[in-house]
Amino acid sequence: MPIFKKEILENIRSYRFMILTALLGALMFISILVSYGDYQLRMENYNVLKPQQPTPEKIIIPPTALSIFVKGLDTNLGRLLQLSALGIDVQVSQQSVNRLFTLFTVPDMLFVIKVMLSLMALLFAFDALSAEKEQGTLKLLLAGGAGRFGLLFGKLAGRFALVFVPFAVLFTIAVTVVSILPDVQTDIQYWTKLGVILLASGVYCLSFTALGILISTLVHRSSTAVIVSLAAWTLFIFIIPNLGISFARNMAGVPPGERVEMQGRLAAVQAIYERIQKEKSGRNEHIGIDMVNQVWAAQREIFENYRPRLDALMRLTRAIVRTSPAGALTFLMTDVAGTGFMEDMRLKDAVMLHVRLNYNKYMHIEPGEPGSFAYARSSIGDAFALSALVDSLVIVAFAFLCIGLAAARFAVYDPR
Amino acid sequence: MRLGLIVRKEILDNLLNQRFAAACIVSVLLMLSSMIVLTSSYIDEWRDYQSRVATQEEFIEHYGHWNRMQWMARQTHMPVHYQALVLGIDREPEQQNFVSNPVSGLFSRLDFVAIVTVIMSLMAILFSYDSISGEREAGLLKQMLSAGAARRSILFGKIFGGIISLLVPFTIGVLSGILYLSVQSGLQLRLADYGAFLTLLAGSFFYISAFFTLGVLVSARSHTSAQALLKALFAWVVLVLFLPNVSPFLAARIYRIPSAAKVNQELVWITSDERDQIVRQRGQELLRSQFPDLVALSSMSRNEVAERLGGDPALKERYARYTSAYDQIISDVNREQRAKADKINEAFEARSKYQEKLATWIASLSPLADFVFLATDITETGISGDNHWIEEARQYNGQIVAFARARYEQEKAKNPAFDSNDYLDMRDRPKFVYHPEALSGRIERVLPQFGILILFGLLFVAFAHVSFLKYDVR
Repeated sequence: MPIFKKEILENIRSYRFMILTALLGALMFISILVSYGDYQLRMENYNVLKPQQPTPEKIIIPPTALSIFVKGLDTNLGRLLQLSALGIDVQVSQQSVNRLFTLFTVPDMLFVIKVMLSLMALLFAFDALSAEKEQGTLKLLLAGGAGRFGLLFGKLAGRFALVFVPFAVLFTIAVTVVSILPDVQTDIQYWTKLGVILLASGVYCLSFTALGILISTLVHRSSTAVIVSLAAWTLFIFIIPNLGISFARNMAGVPPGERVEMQGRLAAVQAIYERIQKEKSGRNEHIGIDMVNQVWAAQREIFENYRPRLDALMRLTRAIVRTSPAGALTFLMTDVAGTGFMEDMRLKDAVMLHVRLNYNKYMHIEPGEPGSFAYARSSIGDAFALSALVDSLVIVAFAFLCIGLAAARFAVYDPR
Repeated sequence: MRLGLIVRKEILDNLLNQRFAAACIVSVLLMLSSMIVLTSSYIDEWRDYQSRVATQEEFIEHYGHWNRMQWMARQTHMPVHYQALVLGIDREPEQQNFVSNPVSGLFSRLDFVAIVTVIMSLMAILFSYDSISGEREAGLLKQMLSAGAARRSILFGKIFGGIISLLVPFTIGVLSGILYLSVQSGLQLRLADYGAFLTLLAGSFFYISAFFTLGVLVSARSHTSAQALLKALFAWVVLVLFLPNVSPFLAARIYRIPSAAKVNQELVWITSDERDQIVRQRGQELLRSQFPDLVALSSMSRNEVAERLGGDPALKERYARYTSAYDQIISDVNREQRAKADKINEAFEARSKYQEKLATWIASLSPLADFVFLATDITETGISGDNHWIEEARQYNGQIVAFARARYEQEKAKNPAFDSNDYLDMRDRPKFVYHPEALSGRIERVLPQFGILILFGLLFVAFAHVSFLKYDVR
């Protein structure tokens, strides 16, 4: 406890604390400002595109307010899908026309947490022990009776609190302000999910603080520690996730979207053409139904061939990218917020199931009205049951590994 | 002390430093691994593109007909061989199909641009943040000044020496990557491609140098290295991680444009519902004013009308005149509504372009965005390359439509019963050949970005110079 107190008092009025906390606050404010504007635009699109009366042919789900914090794939999830005799048509007119969005990253809260919070945690922790050693105070502390583990954990807790407490306060303010803005509807799921996001940010921040402390026990000079810390940060934040995606894509061999689009398009043209030729040759019996069946059979075949390969790509991507806590955090937060891979696949499955169950009624092969499409984003339980649990365990394991290694290393650390 | 001597000292200092070895290893490994993975990815994409083109061509040869020609002959973006270095606009996240791959919507791939913009700029900061303050802390600055070294020589010696030390491992990494690309048969590089690579390399030099000089500036304005590091990282976070990413969102807030979905809905309404209303209204007026004797026919079924016309040749002729006038109304209304829709669409496109331009201006305040624009424009993977491709595809679309129409009319002339759904032999149709923009044009386009990057470097050097002249060396 005295070490924890010393760490707080020593750092709270430091130049480092002020500059980094001010930067974090500014980035969080701008992030919320631009993300809320983007959410409003998606909401406006949704209000324009949603059918006035529930129609089974038009499928669109509203953007989630959590996408203000974790945008993920929410733009894609909110596309209008139109079912017709020629398949499922995707309306892309709601996508932004500004192509700069495709060149740069979305600066949402996930980005701030993933990039900034980890950087701050490392910048607060890298010199925790090496600076004490350089100043000669490490020897004095140990000679004064401080236990090595007490010292290590006191430093870990103190440095973690210096980063996480201001973040948690700013996050709570941001969440409260957003919840009272127009177009934002809150319920128990909303608050629970934000609570999980805050908790995950805490564990993530702890894991990078522990990494910084570990680096501090591995080197003897702060100037080396900062270089190693920034190299580790670059590795975990940029290199592993981004290079991992490229590796996974190459290994899985999933065909590009254009191939799937072409197959669907040509299958539809072929079915229409063959129908017309049959009509001309006088074979008029069931040709309309045959055409629709042919188009949908092709669509189903494309989906059924593509889906297992896409699933394999997802599994591989998760396996590679999860080796970095930043990758695991991205999966965890997007799945919890209902804007990740899991939600995307879940929605596509729900649409295909809806089509399969109502297909004959749509095509008037069977009497009766097709049922309306109903969809609810995954709950926190669904997210944890499917993948978020593994991602959270990865982050926790990373934190424990760094703490364990730091403790082992500090036990034999030469304080001279 | 002469400038050359200080440059030499800096280079030797860096060569004997662990940082230099780490920079060498990281640069070479990252460049190579990224280029190997992206080259393999490009070759797969290129094979798939060729197979798609072949499938589509074969399809047109089997099922070609005038009615759905544009649907059949739709062009998809061909992969650009520069993608082994610069990915640029990634179309996959747009997810234009129901069945599409969402992976790249969450993460972007690591390419040359990402390595230069994030990793090399951070390395530049780490090489330079203690260049002045570190020397002061070690007491060397006082010694150098008392030994007769001019402040200007120290500053420029540190800048030149540091930049050379940083760019050598980077250039080794890039050249090894380019060497790897040049031996890949799947890429078929031409001389112009090497010109583009060299331009890209030159752009990277200016970008990395700008960050190095920023580090020196911060160092010259800080008393301790710890302070300098924090300030430099602060500036790096703002310039690299935040400003470019925020720019499109800020532009969207500053200059609002109507939602694309809303505009699209309005266009659909103008060219369908409103058009039908106008046609119906004008049709009724026509009937009332010029063909009042045919009003009764309008409420009859097709069979009843055919029966009435069959028994009355005069009525049949009058009805033919009416249908011809009615067809003219449809054609006129279609033209008018199309013009109205085009006007709205053009206005929307102009406003969208302006928003894009505004976002580009805001982003240009960051050297990262300038380098991204430079890299994507020189390699045709960015906005200008996209515009060029859209224009080429549009021209080809016009060609194929004109060709198919001419062929259809030929067939129709031979056989009046031939209709738009009959098979049309299109084997000798023009094929889509993409003509990339000449390298000179691309270089001309990226000159402003070069200028801005150089300006950033010069500004940082000038401020560093002023700060160092007043620097307290004690």
